[in-house]
Amino acid sequence: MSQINHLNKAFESRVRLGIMSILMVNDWMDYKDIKEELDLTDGNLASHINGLEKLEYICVRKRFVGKKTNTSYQITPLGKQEFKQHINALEKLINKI
Amino acid sequence: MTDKNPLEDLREIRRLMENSSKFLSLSGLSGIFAGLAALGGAWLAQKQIVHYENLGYFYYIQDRMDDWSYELSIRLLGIALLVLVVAVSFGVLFTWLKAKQQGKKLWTNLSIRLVISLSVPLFFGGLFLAGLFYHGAYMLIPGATLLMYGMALLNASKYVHQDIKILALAEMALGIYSIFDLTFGMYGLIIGFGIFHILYGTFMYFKYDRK
Repeated sequence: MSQINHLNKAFESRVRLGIMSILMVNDWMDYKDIKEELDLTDGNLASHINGLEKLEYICVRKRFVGKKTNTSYQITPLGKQEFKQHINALEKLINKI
Repeated sequence: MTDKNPLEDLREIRRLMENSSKFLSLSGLSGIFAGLAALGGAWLAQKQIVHYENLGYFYYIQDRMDDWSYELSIRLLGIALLVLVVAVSFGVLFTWLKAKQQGKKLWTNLSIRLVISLSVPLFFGGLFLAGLFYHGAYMLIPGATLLMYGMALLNASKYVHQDIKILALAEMALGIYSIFDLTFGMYGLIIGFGIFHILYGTFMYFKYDRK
């Protein structure tokens, strides 16, 4: 049962799992690219991103590219660590079955 | 959700990591047509070489052997550039078609990074080849070309399917062989740019494109 405890409640939603997966392998990913990759609506994605940001698993960067605003996200060391732990827990769970 | 199906979660994580960090719309057909273009180029080059070998005697009695090798090499260079343009055009065309079929865009941050990681080593490799050409070291050009190309592929391999590393290694090994066995040069180019591309393209086509 101990593995279950390592499963992170923050990653229960598929959307959050998706955001973290993408940010694990991409340094500074644009908001619109994440949206496209996950095939989501703005409202849906924004709430999950805010959730992850509050937990300090990801951090945001807003800047201007030319005249347009550009919002991109990066995973934090904490987020990376938590996500790895979550994956390990998932794997152990599978091996048990 | 997560507790119910961890296997499904892991699959999704894996898929997203791969899809978001690699440009997967590169078509196997691009490789096949690049190979065919190279073989066509080799055929044209062979005709030019035979033509100039027949003319060799006239250049020789006029004491113009330097002109002879210079003119021939300019023609071969022209053919090589033609092959490059044709191969790249087909490459972009088939990749565009595949991206469209997958409902993906051709120009993304990812594909731009892919093009940059390919073109930087190719650009400097090309200048190096120009240096060899400038000094008349024609016999070193085939091997060096294959080596530079292999290195450029290796540099770009992190943005596409991992299988391309095998092609990169094969090109580099062939390049090194061609540097030591100078009589092999032309065959090296035919194998490296023609045969290898066709084999690789066919393999990729059946592994990823046809589903």
